[in-house]
Amino acid sequence: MPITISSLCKRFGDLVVFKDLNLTFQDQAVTAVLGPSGCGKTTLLNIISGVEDKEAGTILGTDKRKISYLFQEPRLLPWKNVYANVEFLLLDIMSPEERKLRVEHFLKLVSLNEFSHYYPHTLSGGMKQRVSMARAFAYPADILLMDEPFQALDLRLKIGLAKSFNMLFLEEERTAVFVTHDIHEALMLGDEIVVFSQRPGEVRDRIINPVPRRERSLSNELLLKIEKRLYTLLR
Amino acid sequence: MLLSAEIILPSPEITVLRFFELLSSRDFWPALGATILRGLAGFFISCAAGIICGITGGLKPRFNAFIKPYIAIIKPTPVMSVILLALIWFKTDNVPIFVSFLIAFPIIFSNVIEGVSHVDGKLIEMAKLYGLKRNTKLFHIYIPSITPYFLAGISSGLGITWKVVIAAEVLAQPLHALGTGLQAAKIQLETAEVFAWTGAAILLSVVTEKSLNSILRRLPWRDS
Repeated sequence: MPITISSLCKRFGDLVVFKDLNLTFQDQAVTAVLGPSGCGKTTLLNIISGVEDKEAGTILGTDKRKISYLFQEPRLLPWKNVYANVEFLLLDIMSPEERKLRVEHFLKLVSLNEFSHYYPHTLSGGMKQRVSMARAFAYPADILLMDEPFQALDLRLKIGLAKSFNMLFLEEERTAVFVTHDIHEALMLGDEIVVFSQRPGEVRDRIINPVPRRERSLSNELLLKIEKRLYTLLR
Repeated sequence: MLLSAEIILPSPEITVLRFFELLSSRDFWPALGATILRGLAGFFISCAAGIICGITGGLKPRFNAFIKPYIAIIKPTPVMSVILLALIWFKTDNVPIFVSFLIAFPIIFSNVIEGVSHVDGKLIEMAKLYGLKRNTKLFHIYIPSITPYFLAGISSGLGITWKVVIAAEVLAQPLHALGTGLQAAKIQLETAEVFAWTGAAILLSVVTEKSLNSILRRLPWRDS
């Protein structure tokens, strides 16, 4: 089921974040919401997850569906090793045998199976974020919300993480909403790219990514063309 | 002349000799055992109460507001006043336990409260978003976050516990106690024996502190 947002309004005091936002997030696809800082991207995620109230409008397709999250920081528990960090969210919902299979499977997908006994402080920033991705995907959910999960990392790491993400996503397709101000991230991950305007956030353009997930790379001719177009839209 | 000098400050040889005599004496081991038991009893009660009150106080501001004035009164109260009052109220064997509780509990409590205030809000937010159960949050986020603060509290709390337990024993005079031995040696002007008992008390304190610190260092997630 897609997530459909209609006539969404949201204000913080005098600050109008959304006036009349209409937007659909396709099922089993990643929608990248690309926009300048302060255009209400994080607020949008918070409204979808229910952390933030909306003022008016409707959101369909989130009821009774499980949501997993990827945050700006990896949010690992420092006292748990890699394995236990991925397992942690499954403690309440799965038997130990099920958990073991799932954790091992997803750690393998992000190539961290050899590091399962390492503690977070011994890992690099990119590895931590990969653990956090494995955790988000190991948690069984229909919806995945991501708030600039690669923002603190350099370009080379970002590309590596985007590849890991694509591996995971091909394994477990979800309705994924991904907010970012980074054009490269949007191109690598998004099946659809929605460009937001400055506040109040409105949809300026929607671009369908023509390159299949497996073949995406930043040197791809088609993606380079879209990159140019996104630059002019964001300027 | 030599005799009076030995009373004021006995020579190291005599002190060491007395120390080993003390170790082989009939009274020493029951006294040491009883002191350790009293200290640990008071200390475990302090830990249990400190953890429960500390976590509750850290999470529920109203409970914290309720308990804080009591802690604020207990903390600056002279140890001697506590001992003298306890002597009036309790059986001699229990006096040191009560005193060590009153001294160690505020330390453990403050450290646990401090630990709760340092729990990473982002981890709590994540736990909420994923709808984790209360016990999962308690045992997998709160308690591990608090552990280093709690262990630091234990370390300073236990050090002071031995001191006040022995002080309370000196005044309460239970049948078997380091403090009782110390007092008896003092009354007989056996200064070397006073030193010997003191040495035993120091050893007790050092051994417990060292073993606690080694636990603290072994926490796997500590950086250095």
